[in-house]
Amino acid sequence: MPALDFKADREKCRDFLKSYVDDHGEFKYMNMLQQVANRKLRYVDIEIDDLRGSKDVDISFVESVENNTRRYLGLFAEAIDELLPNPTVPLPRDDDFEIFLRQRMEETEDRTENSGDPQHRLPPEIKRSYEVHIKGASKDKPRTLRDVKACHIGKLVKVKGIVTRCTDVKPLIQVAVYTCELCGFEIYQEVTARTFMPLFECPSKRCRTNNAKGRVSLQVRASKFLKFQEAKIQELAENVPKGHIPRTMSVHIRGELTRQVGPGDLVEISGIFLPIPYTGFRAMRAGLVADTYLEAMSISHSKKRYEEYVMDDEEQYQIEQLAKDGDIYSKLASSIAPEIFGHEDVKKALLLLLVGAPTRQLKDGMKIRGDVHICLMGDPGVAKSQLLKHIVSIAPRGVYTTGRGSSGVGLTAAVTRDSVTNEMVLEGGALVLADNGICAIDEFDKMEESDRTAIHEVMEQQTVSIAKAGITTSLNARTAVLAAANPAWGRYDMRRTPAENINLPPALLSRFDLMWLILDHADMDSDLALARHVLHVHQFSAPPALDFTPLDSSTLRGYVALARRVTPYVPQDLCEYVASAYATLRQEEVQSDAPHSYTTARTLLSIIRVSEALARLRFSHMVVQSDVDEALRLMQMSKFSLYADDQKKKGLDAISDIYSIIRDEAAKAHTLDVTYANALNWCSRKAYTEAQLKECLEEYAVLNVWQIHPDSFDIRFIDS
Amino acid sequence: MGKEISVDCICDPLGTVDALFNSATCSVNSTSQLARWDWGVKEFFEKFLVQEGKYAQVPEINSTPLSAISPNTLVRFRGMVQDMFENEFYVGCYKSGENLRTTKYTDSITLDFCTPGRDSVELWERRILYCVPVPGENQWVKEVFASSAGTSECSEHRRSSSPSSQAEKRQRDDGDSSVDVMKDVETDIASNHESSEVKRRREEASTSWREEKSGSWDLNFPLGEASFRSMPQRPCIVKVYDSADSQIMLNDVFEFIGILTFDPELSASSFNRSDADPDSFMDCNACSRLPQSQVPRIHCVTLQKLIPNNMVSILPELRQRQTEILTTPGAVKQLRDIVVNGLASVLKGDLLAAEYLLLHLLSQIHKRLDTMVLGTVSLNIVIAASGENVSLPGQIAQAVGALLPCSHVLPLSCDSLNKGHWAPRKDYDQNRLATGVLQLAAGTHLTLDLTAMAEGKLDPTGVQNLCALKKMMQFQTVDYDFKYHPVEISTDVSVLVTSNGIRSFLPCDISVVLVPNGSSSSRLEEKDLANLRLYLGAVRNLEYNQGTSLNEVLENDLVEASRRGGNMTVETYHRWLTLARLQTVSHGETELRIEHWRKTLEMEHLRMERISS
Repeated sequence: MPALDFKADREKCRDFLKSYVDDHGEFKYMNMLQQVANRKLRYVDIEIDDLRGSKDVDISFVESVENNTRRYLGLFAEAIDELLPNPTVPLPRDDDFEIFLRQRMEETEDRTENSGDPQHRLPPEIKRSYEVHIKGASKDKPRTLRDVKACHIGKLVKVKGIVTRCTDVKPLIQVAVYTCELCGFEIYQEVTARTFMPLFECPSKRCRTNNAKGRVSLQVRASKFLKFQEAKIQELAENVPKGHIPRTMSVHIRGELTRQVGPGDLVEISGIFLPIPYTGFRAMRAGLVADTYLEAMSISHSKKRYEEYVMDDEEQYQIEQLAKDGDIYSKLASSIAPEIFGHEDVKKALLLLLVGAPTRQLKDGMKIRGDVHICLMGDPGVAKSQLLKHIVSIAPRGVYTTGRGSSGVGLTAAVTRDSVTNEMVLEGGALVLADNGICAIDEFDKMEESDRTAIHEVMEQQTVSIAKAGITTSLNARTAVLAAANPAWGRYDMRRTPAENINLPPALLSRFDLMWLILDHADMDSDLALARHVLHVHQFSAPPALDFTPLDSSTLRGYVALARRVTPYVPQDLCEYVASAYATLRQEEVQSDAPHSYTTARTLLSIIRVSEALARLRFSHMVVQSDVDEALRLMQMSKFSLYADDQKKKGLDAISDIYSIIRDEAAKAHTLDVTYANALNWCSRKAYTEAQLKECLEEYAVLNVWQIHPDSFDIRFIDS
Repeated sequence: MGKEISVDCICDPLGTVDALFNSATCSVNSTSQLARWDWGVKEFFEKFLVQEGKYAQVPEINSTPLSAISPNTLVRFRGMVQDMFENEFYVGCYKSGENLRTTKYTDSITLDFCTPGRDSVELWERRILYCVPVPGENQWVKEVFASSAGTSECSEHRRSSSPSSQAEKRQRDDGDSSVDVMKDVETDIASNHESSEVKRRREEASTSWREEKSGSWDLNFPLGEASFRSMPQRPCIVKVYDSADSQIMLNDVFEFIGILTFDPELSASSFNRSDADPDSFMDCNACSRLPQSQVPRIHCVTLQKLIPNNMVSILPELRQRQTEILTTPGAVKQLRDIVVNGLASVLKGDLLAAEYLLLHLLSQIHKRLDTMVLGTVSLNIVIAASGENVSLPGQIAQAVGALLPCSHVLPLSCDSLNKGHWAPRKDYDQNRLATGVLQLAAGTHLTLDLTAMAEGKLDPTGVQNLCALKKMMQFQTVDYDFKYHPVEISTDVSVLVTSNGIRSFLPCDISVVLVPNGSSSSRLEEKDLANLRLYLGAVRNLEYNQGTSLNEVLENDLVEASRRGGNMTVETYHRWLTLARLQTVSHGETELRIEHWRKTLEMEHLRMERISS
């Protein structure tokens, strides 16, 4: 290694600290030093960003700071020692340590003049009442633990990981102070490693010349100790390549940085990657290998949410371009689980679940949730679980669990006894873990009764209350619940009523915004399509090429994140429309003999929620009528497979049903004229297509029931 | 120089490494350049093993007791990667006097290392893998490999002529006395001229060895130590150099060829401090703590990935025979008949069940799509509950074990489910991956015996185990518990269930009701087994191509079936096509023919009839 000119570098450090001016025109570091001198601050954070931003510092200096950080920490500390101003405020009364220190400083000044023994000189560490940290550049992306390699030894690195273990904070000796029983000298020993060999003989000149072998004793009160904590971090699950084990790394945390992390925390640590050579006997035998650790310089906690999803400009631009595309709604929806065949409307509903509506807090403190809850109920083998898993993989905070399988902690929360500390600890279950995310619960119907009751609270109040073992608390569980369940008898039984089949208590059912019934009907066309699909998969070991290119999940995630920033509102004139739609739903339910749903005030909220989610997808701040119509359509669609069956029983075909819809609506409005747009709205709300509507219009026009305007397709009933 | 080294590649591989290193140092300017490549070590050894045909001479330490092999020689080891320890940073090269020296491929060091001159020290990185013998590996595989391996002639050679070998060493090390001290120690152990110091150390080592036997070291065998029956097996720590991360994955099976190192002193010192500081976890580095007498260290020179369900194919001679079987007309047909009849005789003469069992034995994943897994067929053989059938599950498992390289029987009961964790967990105290029965190499066969299941209560552990098992059967993944988050690891385990009921609580693709048919045909004969194993291994890995010519027929058949039967789902479609595929390859063919498809449908039809009756 070429001999670097550290003296010159120390000057550079000094100049930088002295002259650095931040954006507000203040001497950032000199101000900091003043605070240190005034005993208000116990650390000096030197930021690489500042070093880079400073005009006076050349880039090679910054590089050498980053590559040889440990050395420069010392240099900066020395520079600070020189620069430290006098306190501007009266200091609080000195503690013991200070008194010791002052006395010693006076003493050593006398002594060093006559004896040049280095071990007598007061080491600078003992005088310092501050710590120096060099903070990594904030723009650098944190590395994965896997990427930290041998070439990073000695350098400043930034890593991200989950804390798996950490020790108690313990004192670590930094400067050991001894006094000699014979000559009375104080001897200082700097300790840089975790272990040190204590002195036994007085090394002073006097004792040596007298050959006295003066015994020394360690002065605990005079020595300088440092808070010290050790932690282990583990690679994040998403950084682990398939088929590998997460890597771990030890982190040493000193001084003011201690007590910031606990097991389970997601942290970003920048620090110096250093080897610890073995000491003592092991060094001789096993000196070939070195353990490594990360000397922490700064620690920050991170919690990823949609709202904090960071996008670069290019991504943002791409997504905004996408949003301009008219058909983005169905394009996004079909990009959810593209491998799963069909189920377009279910996927649309799931997309809305991802997007959600804004949570509203009323003035009186009441909260109206914005998360959209969805329940998928259906025959076995209709890919419910796959859909659930896929959604969880898209959501930044998705937790997949099964109603049965979650043992111990369960879905909500549990109080357990910590095996190490023997303390009672509160452990969050799946729903708590999915706070601000999505909790997918498979086999919802097979859930324990106790969990199911707890879910009532989660789904409406979005908290989990717990009162066990002396702990009463309420945890946040602001999560969207996506449940999948089988019908009561495994398969949907057509001979029984829907309520019997669904077999979930109305209280629970009403909490779902959308309840989807996916039935496995046999029909020729879909069977053939399915057969072709499966054949293709087996022939080419890949699913057939889709007739569109699905958006990849990161784009999808980005789009959803951006959409979630929008807070749409329902304009006044639309309220009337929503209200009447709701009233109609209620009416229909009263009239039908076997209701498929429980329409309650919650339904009204659901309509608004789903409409708001739809508005979010358009990045629009205002809900429009088409949103409400689509929301109603989805609610209708969700029971479509059942209705289709009912209608067969009633002997009504789609065409005559559309006719009756239009007739009823016209009668309600006491008019004979119906615009085409209105008719289309009514039909789509009942889950009929435009083609069916056109067919109906033609058929009944032939029968002279109504006249159709040749251009606008508006309808005029012929008064008979 | 090269000529001199090649003589002793097996007995003195380090000498070879040194020589290659020395010639490399001449050609580079700075030490950092040396870190980037292996100075042709891998190439040299591969050439030596393959081209010069010395592969068979390398002793295999799976079957040989450690005492028979002397340290610092070339060995073979067949194992599954059970855990990956943290990468190790080691002093790659350093200056000793004027010469550069390397410590790559070795743990031992020369004592002059502590002297200054550290400015030329380079820290390099190597991967540390904890490998266990392949779980569930059957006896016959061990025998095949053991018979292919050379006896360790080095140790014989050493023992008989230790003075001369010492002299050789001295020459090579050129007066580097410290090396000699160490080498002498080793040689002395080998030749039983023990100094008191060494004796003491050995005693220490042997006492601690005994202690370990009583279970203080968990060696993390997924199926427990009992599974090895007569032949004791040991795990190895394999140190791998210059490999890409993606090359080696968890649960992969490899044959490592590398240098066995054993340093009794290092090992003794690690015992002494094992309990010294329980609080600090700086020392919880499992790699340095596991005793060398139990877990030998191998510095891998070259490695080869094994396909566990066709492991023997890496032996050139057997690979040759496999191709012969496939190319000889009629050979496949003949072997197929033998195996079906043999299986039928085990299954009380039931030919249909035997056909299904054969197809099941051939199944393996051929494609993963998102969460869907194609290719596996889990089979449930339904045996009527009666006294005479008690031993049947055992007999079936035995037949499977005789045919497949890796298999294991897991009797399910409430007790066994409640006992211990089946899915591996991270043990943060030890910083190791604590294994479980579900940590199996791809291609392992698992027989679950449900016939012994009785009523009982499952505790939370039992429920977790059952869920893990179900997940593995459905999605072929196992969630390894890392406490803070699970890590999903893919598996490829074919599961055979023997039960007394058609509907078991395990998600099986196919249930076959066993219908005994008195006529006991030919049994599986010992003489046929060797060929049958080769046949199964060969056809299983055939490249299959479904082709498009039959599309119309297939489409119609599928749609027709769903119109008739009602109970058709996507799963049924997939199952039929997978069965057709297996039917085809079982005949040694690679393209689907109409007769195989018809046969599949017929088999399914017969099977469904049995279930409904």
